[in-house]
Amino acid sequence: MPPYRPPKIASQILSHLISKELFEEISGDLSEEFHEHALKRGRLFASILYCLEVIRYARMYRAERNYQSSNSLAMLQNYIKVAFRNLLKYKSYSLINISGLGVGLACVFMIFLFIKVETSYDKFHADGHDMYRLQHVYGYINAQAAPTYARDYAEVASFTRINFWKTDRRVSLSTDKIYYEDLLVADSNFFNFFTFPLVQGNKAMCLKDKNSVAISKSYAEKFFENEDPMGQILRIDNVINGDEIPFKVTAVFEDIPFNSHLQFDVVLPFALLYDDRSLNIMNLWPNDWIGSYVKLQPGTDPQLMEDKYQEMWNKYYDAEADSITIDFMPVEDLYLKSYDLRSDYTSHGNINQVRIFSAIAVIILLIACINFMNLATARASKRSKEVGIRKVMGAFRKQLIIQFFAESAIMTFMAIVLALLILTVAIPPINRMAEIDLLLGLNDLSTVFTGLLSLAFITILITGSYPALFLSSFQPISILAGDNPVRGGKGWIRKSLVIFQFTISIVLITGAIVVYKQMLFVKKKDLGFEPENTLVMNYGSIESLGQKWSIVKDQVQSIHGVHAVMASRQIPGDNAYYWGYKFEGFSNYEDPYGDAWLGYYVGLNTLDALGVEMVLGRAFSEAIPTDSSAFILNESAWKKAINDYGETWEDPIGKTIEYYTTHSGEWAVDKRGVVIGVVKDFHHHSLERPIDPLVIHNAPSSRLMVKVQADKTNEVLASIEDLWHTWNAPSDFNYQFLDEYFEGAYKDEEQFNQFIIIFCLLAIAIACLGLYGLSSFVAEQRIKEIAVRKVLGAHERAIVGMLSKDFLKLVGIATLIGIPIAYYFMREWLSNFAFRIDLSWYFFVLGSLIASTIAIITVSYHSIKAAISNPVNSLRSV
Amino acid sequence: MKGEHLGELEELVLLITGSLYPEAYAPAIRKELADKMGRKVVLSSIHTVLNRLEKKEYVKSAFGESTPERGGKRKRFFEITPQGFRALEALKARRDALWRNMQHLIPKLS
Repeated sequence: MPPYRPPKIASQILSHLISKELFEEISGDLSEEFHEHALKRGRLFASILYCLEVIRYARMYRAERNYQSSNSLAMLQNYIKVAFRNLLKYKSYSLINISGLGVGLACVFMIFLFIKVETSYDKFHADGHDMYRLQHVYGYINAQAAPTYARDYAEVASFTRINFWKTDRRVSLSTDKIYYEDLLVADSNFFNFFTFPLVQGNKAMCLKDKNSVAISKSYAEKFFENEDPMGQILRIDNVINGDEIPFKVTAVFEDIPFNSHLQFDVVLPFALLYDDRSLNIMNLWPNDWIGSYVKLQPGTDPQLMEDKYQEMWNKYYDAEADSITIDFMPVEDLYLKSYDLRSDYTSHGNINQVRIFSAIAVIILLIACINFMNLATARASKRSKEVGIRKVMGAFRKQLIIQFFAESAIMTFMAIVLALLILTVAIPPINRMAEIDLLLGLNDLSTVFTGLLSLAFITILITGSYPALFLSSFQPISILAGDNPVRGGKGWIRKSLVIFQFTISIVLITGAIVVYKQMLFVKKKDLGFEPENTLVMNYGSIESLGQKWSIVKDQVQSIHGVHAVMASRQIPGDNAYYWGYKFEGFSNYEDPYGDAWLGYYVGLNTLDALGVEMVLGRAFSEAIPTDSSAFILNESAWKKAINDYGETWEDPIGKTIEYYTTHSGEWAVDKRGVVIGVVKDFHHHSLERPIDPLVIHNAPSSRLMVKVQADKTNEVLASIEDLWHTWNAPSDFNYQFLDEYFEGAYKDEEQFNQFIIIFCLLAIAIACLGLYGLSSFVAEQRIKEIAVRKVLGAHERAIVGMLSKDFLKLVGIATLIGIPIAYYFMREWLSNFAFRIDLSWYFFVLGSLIASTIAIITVSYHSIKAAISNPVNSLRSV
Repeated sequence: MKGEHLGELEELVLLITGSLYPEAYAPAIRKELADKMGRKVVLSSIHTVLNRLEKKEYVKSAFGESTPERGGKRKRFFEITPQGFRALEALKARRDALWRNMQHLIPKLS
């Protein structure tokens, strides 16, 4: 048996405690005892004893070691002492420095946490580097692509496919345990492909059988509590025909971590889809609907594989087709980089947000550091005598540099302590506001720690560098002879730093104004419908609402305070999906199933009750039976139809459209109907995105919508809840407000904008703190000059003007530089929005004015103080 | 006489160093102290005492062999010197004298 070794660190400490000649014996003795203790009572106990023993050897330190008096140590102590004296002597400047830097660091660290959370997505898969999702304009692709790749190209090691059923499928164990869930359908190798560890069950086998289901750990607890979930039967709504099918639980997986782009609790086997022959999924190339993932052999260039797609398409589907493309999106980048897809089954972050926040973090840190540098150099005149004396007493330049770095290190560490305090106070409310858990960024403490350390290091380096190099360069003779080194020439660095700071401030203020205006614009924009006072209730199933519709409608309509009762499958804010449509007059499509148009499903009277205006024709009517297969276009769709299918569509009323879908029939016509009307464009999804051309169906619905009188909402809700139980609705009573639901679609963007504004304001505040400190120094330096001027009869106003003029000149230059920069960035930013404000000149004027006003206010405080002070007091002093 | 003074622990360690010869090194001395005298002392105390005794030239030391448990470090064996022995002897003699003075009381006390 190899002997136990004592803890390394403790041995090392020991070697420092005792002299070399004793070390061999003592450490040997200790190791021997450690070995014995470890054998008898375990390693831990032995280690503790060992450490205690090592500490006891401290008593031999003084006795045995040659004690060297260390001059450098004493000097270091002196630096620290002087640094603290300076801190206390100029309390207000220290406060400005530390608080500015502290707030800045807090912002930077918060942004760091945010970026860490956002970039942590999908990094936990084994072979994650080689995993790609096949996507094009959608986040999904046809069912053929992935298997064909794997079969035809050796570079593709494996693949897996998924399909989300995001329509709240019913999952039940018994009559009293019913949940509505999104279901994931996945190939049987799903758990082998991705690293989602299983708690119970077999990775390879659990999805092999068609009637098996894998559920998450927390879901198993929710359903089965303490019982063993394995082998239990769950009844799940079948997506294809609405029947309930029994599924046997064959695996339980660990809950999916928050930072996975796939979020699911229930996984069903992909084989289910083969079951329904009408789906015909294997042969259809132009039908994008399956989330497909491939793993490439290490080192394969995904570009090569992308280029093969055209060949595949030509070989297996259509030999003529050209410009067929595909993207291999690395799974690790998917969350941040696929945000601009037309439609996807997962939620996304936005790489641009991450970039903008990173830029803001750097700017805030820079501003805080510049404050520090400016104040330190401004103070140089006071410190120059100290430098002179130190040099005369024999200090080397290197030592002075160390001294000034030590001072900025002390300041920085105080600022970090302040920043951590701010963070502990600020993070919980911010988490609540932004609905993100920033603390999740802390799960990997080592990177956080290195992040903090490197942040401190960078800050010390920036803040310390200029004062250290500048102050230490003074010639002792000239300083001690009375020259003020600060006045000559060197001021330009400080001036350019102030200009830099103010340029940034002007850009930020203008940016904040533009962001705010854009937010306001989005809020006030006419949506094309009236979302207010509309309740949305999910009935649970299309069929049962269809059966009960006439009863439900009459009963709700008769409640006092109800303006209108509607039903709809999709409501504004929902995603619409592309289906095949063949418009009349054109038969020579490249694609036999027509062109892809967004289908939008509403109930009979939904459009009018929501206040969507008709441009042409009429809305769906209950009285006309053929309306069940009629279509309505929105204005954009009308224009597109004219553009794509010719002028016959100038008059759309009565033209036929064939609607193709995969959900029933082999991509055959699902229904054929005529266009009965055109509605004005309304915002069917977030205002960030343009209004898409929509083909509006009159379709059976699963949601009940009620427009109520504003002050009767609670009574109406109570009455509907009572009625709800009599209807035997498959879903429990639930409701949402349409306006809130719709705002949810762009809430992320709005929160992001709010944060940008907050950070901009903080950055400006920090910049002003610096200016405040700087102006006070300048006023102080010129105090004698001011006094002499006053004695000779200068007016107070003239003095204030003189002092402010210098700063205002700098602000003026900053304005000239800042406006073009602001213009460039804000134009870029606005171009992300489909509906945006115009950049008007007054944003820039306003931004510059605000910046100058802030500058004048901060500077004038000290100018006025200097101007009205009694000249006798300043002249009398030595 | 002052420099020759032996503390109580010093006396015990010196005695055990003599009795363990030629195997007297710190951990062994510590163990003997615990076994025979019921005194639990930390190793650093033993080392301090041994160093002190060596400075007084009551013991001398030499490096011996090493074992794997020691991580390749050699043992330092201590050996009592004639001066050390004399000091122990003197201490014992003085003690015996005191005992003898108490002799007439022994029947009464025990």
